[in-house]
Amino acid sequence: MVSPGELWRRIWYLLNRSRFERELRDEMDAHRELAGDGGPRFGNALRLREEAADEWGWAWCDRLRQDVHFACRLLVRAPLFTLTAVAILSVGVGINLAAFEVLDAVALSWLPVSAPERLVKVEHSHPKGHGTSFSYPEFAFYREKAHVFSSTFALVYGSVTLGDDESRRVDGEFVTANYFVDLGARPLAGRLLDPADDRPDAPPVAVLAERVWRARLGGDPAVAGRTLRVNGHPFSIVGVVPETFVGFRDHTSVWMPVTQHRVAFEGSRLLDDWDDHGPVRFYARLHEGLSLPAAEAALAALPGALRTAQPSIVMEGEWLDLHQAGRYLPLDGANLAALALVGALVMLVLVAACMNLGVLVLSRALGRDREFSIRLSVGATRGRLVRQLATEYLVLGAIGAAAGCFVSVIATRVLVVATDMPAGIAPHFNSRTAFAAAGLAVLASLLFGFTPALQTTRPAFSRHLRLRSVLVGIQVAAACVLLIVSGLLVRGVTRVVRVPLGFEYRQSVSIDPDLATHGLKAAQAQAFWQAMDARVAQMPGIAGSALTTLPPFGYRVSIDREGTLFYRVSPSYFETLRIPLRRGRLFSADERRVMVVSETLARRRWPGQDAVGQTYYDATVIGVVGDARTVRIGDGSTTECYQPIEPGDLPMAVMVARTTASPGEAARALVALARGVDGSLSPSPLLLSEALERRIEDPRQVAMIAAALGACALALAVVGLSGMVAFTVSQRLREIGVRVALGARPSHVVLAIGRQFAWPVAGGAIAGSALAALVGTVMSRELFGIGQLDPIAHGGALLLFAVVAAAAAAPSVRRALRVDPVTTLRHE
Amino acid sequence: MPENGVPPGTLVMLVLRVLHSGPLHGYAIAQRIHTLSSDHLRVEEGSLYPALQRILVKGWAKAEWGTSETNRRVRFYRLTPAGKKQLESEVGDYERMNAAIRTILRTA
Repeated sequence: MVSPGELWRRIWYLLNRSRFERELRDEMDAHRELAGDGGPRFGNALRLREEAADEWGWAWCDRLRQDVHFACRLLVRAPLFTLTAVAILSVGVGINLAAFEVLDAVALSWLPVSAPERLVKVEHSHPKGHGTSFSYPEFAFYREKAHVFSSTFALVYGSVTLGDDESRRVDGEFVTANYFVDLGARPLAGRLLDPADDRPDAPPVAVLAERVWRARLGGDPAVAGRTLRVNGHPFSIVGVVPETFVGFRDHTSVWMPVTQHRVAFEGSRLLDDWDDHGPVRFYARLHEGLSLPAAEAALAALPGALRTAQPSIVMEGEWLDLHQAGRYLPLDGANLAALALVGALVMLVLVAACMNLGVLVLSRALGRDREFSIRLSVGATRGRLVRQLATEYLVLGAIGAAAGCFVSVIATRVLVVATDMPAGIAPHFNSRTAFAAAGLAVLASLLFGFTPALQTTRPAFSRHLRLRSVLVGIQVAAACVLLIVSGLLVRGVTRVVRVPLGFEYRQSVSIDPDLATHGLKAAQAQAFWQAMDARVAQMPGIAGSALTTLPPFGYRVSIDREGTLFYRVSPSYFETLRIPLRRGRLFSADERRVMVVSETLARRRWPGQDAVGQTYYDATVIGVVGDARTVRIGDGSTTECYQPIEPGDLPMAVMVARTTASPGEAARALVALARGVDGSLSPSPLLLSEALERRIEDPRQVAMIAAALGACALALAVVGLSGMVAFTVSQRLREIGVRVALGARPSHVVLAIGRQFAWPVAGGAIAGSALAALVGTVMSRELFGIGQLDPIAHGGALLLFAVVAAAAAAPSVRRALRVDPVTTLRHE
Repeated sequence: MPENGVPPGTLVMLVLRVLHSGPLHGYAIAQRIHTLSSDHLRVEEGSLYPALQRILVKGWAKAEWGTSETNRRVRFYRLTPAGKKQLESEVGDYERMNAAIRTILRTA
């Protein structure tokens, strides 16, 4: 145990080291003088002095300095090796660091708002289910009754048109007017919403996102007071929200007070419609020092109190659950699994890089055998040598990590641009990432230095080759996993594009008048759609139209545990989207308790039997149609069943239409038509081919990132392999010369070389393939369009690897084949 | 009896003990141990100075420069209260150990 006083004295000695050393020297000189006449002999004065000074406890510090100095000298003396090593490490560390920076930005850092740690999202649960949204009156009830919140926010999403551009819709957000003030946002121009904007008699105002302000208004600094039409209704702009503001939703273009919802959506009864759990996302800020469980307990009685007044809205036994909302990405189960998977894949790049460098360092260690035997024989301990090597590798690791920091800066910059990440949460360097960089440096040093250190302190050439094979094998395995996984992802995306979805989307458009948002009930909705039907039938260039509850390429789903999607459609749906009838018949509009199922559902549910006439979910199956994946497009495991649309579904219904002319024109015509029927509406048109493009954008980005990782690992493995083959050939040149002299054919030579590294490569490829199959199984559950075992992705990746590896080995093999036996033998 | 080195582990105790009677410089400490042991114990300088540095770092003695009886500038070591306490505890330990060894030698 070192007492504080002692520690302080030691540090004092370290700081005034030269003075204390001088004093020690004077003192020991005096001793020698006094003992002068035949007294005890001083040995080496310097050595004795150093031994005495070691008692100050800083000997390790000196040794470390020596080691670092020595390591630096070695690195400077071999610039080519150092450059290669740093380049390899910078890729491995840089990519991992970039991944960590992104993780840090989205999941570890608090949102850049005031007191983010107290923000929660309020949801509700009951014994049978869970809901994430509320109706506005419900929200208002809880806001008034809950005393655990210092403030509450309601957010309602609305897709709106801005200005005269009716073809393009942007994301609007209706918020309680305390939203910006409470989150601490500052306006870029004008002012943001303030509590006065919530008053029922307040004029309609809006604040714009910086992006929209620049694009549409040219960044006009005097924007406040200008009028902007939202869904065709005039709102006066009061200010601009800077791009760095991060709220509870990305890519919002315009914010308006929630009280103005009925202005933007004429007829909206948002504020007083109790309808079952409406569109309000409920966020709140807890009082200081209150924990989530304590707050949940304090809220426990409220749903029951509301249930006595509104028994149809609140379920028996309902409670409010709170979720931490101060971070961009909550680290819950599903996210954590996905992050762990991504982390593991990214880590493989580091493994590949370190194994690669390990081979390089191992070769160098072989050249230093002499140095180490000499040092061992003159009395250095094995521990001292290992410490020396560890220092060398750590120095190399540190330089590599520093270079990796630069790589990570570039990589995150590219990622931010490519994925359109909000400016406010963009990754940046902070103390956590610096810590991660140091950790990665140590980890990398351990990974690439372990085997060489093992080899150096117990030299044996045969083991050297074995270790080398293991390193190469691991590299190959890592590269194969990454290649196969990126292959799986790329194939997932292309499959969506290539494989017919089973319905006609290129010539189809959909139009969503959002009747429910405008407060229309079943009877009014029915009148609207009847009028629409009549007019669409008159329109030239429309080959058919139909209504559905699940819009194609939309995000609304109704799905059961077995992956069956429930559609409510009008009878013309199948003809409009060209979904073929395989057996039985289709339903008419007023039939009830009948159902049409997709082929795959019929085959899975009633294998070897006729599906027609079976009963499913209380309905009789009357027909079988072709598979048509309109919602979960990449997910082959889902099936469809269709029932006639009922009046109660009509406020939520969307119209699909197939055109024989240009879909863009048809969409515009349909919007005009809908507005002709009801001028208060602002319907959103959608060209299905464009919607499909947008749907596959995310998986395409994921696939691209995975492909980039795969390319890195492939490049590293190829460098490692070509190095190994070159080394093997140069070691065996003489032997090859002898073989050729004794009449070996070129094929024998190639075989002799090939046999040596066939095992590590084959072993690595098999291990990598197996690991990738495992990863694929996990991914197929989480990610869309991924087959569990995809022979083409596996085969393609392995073939690609084989071709590139063969190309990498070719120059060395050619050198072996050109060996002239006479020259090599004379060389002896 | 020939001259011996100090038994291992007792040097710090001996140094603290001779300092107990008053401040001394390094050479004088070695001399004092030598004479007090009737020339039996000789302190090697190679072990004396590390021991002294250790005593300083531990705070058991303080060092200050002064002049020796031969007018040479030397460093005197003065026992601190912590050093006195350490001396007592080391002497105690040593006597218990000695008694135990003696018992074994007598009875075994």
